[in-house]
Amino acid sequence: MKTPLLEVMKTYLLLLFALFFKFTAFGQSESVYDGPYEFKGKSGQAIFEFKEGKDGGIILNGFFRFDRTYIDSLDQTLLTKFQVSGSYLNNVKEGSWSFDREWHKIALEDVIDFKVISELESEDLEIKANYKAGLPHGRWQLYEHKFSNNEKSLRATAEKIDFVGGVMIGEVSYRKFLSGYTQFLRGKINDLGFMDGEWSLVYLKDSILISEARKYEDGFLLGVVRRNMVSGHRIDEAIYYSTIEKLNQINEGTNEYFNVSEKVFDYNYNDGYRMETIERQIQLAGNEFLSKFLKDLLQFDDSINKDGELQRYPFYTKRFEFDISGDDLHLLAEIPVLFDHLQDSVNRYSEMNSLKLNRSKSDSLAFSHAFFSDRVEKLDKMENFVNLLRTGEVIHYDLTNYTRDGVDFMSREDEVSYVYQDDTLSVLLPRMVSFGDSGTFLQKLKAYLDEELSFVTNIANYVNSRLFEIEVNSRLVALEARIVERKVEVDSLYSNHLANYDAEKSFIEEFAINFLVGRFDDRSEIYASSVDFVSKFDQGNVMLDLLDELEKRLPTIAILFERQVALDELYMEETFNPFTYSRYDQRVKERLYDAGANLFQYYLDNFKTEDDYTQIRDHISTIEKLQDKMYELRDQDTRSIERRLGRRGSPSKLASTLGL
Amino acid sequence: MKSLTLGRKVLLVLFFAFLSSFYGYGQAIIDEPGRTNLAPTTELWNGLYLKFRLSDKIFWYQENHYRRRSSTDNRSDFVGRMGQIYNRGGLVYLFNDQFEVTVGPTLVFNFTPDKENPDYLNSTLEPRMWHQWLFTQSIAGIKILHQFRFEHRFKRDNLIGAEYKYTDRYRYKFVAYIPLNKPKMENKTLFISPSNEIFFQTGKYQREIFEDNRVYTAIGYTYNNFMFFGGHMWTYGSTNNPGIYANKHVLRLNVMYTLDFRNKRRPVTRSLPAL
Repeated sequence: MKTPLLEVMKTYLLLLFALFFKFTAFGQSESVYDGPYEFKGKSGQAIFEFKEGKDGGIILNGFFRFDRTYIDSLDQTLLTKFQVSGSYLNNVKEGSWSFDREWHKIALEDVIDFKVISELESEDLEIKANYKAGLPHGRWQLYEHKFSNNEKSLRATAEKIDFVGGVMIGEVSYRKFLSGYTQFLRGKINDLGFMDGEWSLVYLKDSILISEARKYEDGFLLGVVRRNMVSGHRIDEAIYYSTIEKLNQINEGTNEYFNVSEKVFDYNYNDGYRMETIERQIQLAGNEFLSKFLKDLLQFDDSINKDGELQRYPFYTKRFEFDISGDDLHLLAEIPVLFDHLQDSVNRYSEMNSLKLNRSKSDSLAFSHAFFSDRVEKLDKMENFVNLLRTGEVIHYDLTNYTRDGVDFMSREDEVSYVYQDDTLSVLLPRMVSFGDSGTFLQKLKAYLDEELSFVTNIANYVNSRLFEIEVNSRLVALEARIVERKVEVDSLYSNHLANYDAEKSFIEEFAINFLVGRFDDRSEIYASSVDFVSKFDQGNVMLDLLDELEKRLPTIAILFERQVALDELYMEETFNPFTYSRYDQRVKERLYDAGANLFQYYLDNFKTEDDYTQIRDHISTIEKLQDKMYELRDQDTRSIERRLGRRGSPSKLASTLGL
Repeated sequence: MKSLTLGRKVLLVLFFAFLSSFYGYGQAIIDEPGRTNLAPTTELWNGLYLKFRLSDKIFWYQENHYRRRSSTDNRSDFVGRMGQIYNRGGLVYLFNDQFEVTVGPTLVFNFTPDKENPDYLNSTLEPRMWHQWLFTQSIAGIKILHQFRFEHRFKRDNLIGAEYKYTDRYRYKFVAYIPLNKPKMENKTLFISPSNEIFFQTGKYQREIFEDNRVYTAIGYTYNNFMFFGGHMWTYGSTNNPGIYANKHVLRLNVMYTLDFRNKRRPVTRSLPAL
């Protein structure tokens, strides 16, 4: 099976070949392509005339014919055919066009005397169209036949559809025969393409055959009546009094704040009615039938996009355009901004996991969670209207009609129901501002949104503070538990430290008292006296850091003493006393060693009285440097240093003399 | 172990103190028939001891003494008269830490017993040859020395016209170094050193073989190459007059000093922690 991509590539390769052939062989101005081609997403064979554009592209120009015959790869009894013929002028449709789509299903029943006995079930859609400059122009016809039980029957027809420049004019008639019913529409479109006069629609909706009569006046819908076609009962009725009155005012010249808009609109007529009103609802089923008709008729035209939706309407309705007062003009911009801000806040809090998880911790949090969920629904109701402001479409809305039955998202009070500890509770939020107040609708809406924002802000602030408290408490509890745990660990580490030397034991005991008791207690007091969470949390982490540092440095401190003992041994030599006849270790470079030992002790004294735990590392480093130096000097000629050490000096002078 | 060591030290000190009292003061008051003990006199001996290591096995040994003795009219003044200037040298061969032998000369200046008496020479020379065999042992941190010394002396009286007489002297000294502030003898060790040395003599003119016995208890301190050493010594011995014995209380102050001339002090070899 060939993929569509391969088919397309093949098509273009052949077109390129045709172009090449034209220039080399004939040098004619028009060429004919005959080969694979894709039309309206369907692959088939095409033959057409074309010419080369300035940019080297293909320009269809002349006759065009496309054929596709396709047998389903899975069900070999299914055959579809599609034939198109017409002509292009400079790449746009021009003149008569014919579209013929057939669908056949063949059921093999028997073979008798080498004669196939089969049954054929077919559908055939044929559209005869006319174009001018790429737009429907002239008469269009639609026929849809069905072949079944060896009988051909008409299924749908639209015989007299006239276009001028892409717009239908005159009488429109479309009939569709289905399951014994005849559905049809019939109406008139004036010369400017606006629906006009009486329109009759009969269609099947929810198994009911409905007869709908509409009255248009130059694109304005004045009334709709729907009846049950079988029983004759009236289903519903809508008279667009407001439209009629405004039209009268225009006719009388008494209209002050509105006029007829110069824009054109699709067949969904609206004079500011909200979606749930009868004026909007009564049109839906009939408009759906209208839509099916147009999609059937124009399915091969460019007014239908790839998704099968109408993107260019062949006839229109009109609407009024209302003046927005100077006071309200700025609200057109302010209200959407305010709404977006409100919606962002509400969405954030309604989706906030921490609020959801903690809503059972208090009645107020349970209410807050429900409040934001409720606001989401409320703002959803507002959004359509806010979008009208955002797009500017609101100027085509008669706000009197819009607010005729009240505005549900601007209620006098809001009731928020919520569940807390298995009880269903509710809170009434009285509103200071509502639809019933004075002022224009936009002003009231702005005030209402301001009040809404105030509610949202207050409740959000409460939620923030409560969640912060909860988070703070839980984090502080965890932090304190961690500090206590670590303190026990580090205390145990120091108390169980097995010192190899007395000096080490003594130092580590004093060091532990200094840091694990003294400095830790200092930190504890700072922690206890910290009020705000951030500083408290920081102080807690400092305490943990102190404990980590003490844990980390203990082995290094112990090694300092091992190194010092090693230095002691390094600076000893075995000697033989010829008077006592005894051998023993005797200090060498005693002055140097003593200076190092004194400095070591001085550093240790400073170390164990250090207040700042972050300096521990520096103390260790200082001592390590001293020990490294002492190791280094052991085998060097240090007589000069030893002479200088002869004079008593301060620790800093000793360090300087040793080259530290 | 430490208490046992301390116990032993105490016992040794008591033992030597007992010996000291027996020889020193016990005999002073007991006059056996045919024996006359002279009243005790006093002396002060100052000594410098040097020991220079020349090689792994050989030392140069030297001691120089400046000895004073009490006046004729005051036996307790320690320093009333010049006694001797004593110069002893010798080469030491160290077989091992437990045994060494020393051989060398000695030259002693013996000063007149009565400076006012013209019958006496102010000083006479007493040359000697000597050799010494020294054994050491260590017991629980206490160092014990057994010193056998043999001296071949040419000695004369200070009386004018007196002749040199040759005698041989045989000495055995038992000395202990008992550390007080350290478990064993080492640098900076304060120690007590009791000793006893017995002298015998032979010679053509000698009628009594027993010459002298010295009980000496000293306190010492080792400090690097020095050893400071001082104490009381009581001597009891025969005189030139048969049946007459003299005893003396001597204060001794000594400084010992050693140097190693090998110029290659052995470094300590131990496993040191890696830096």
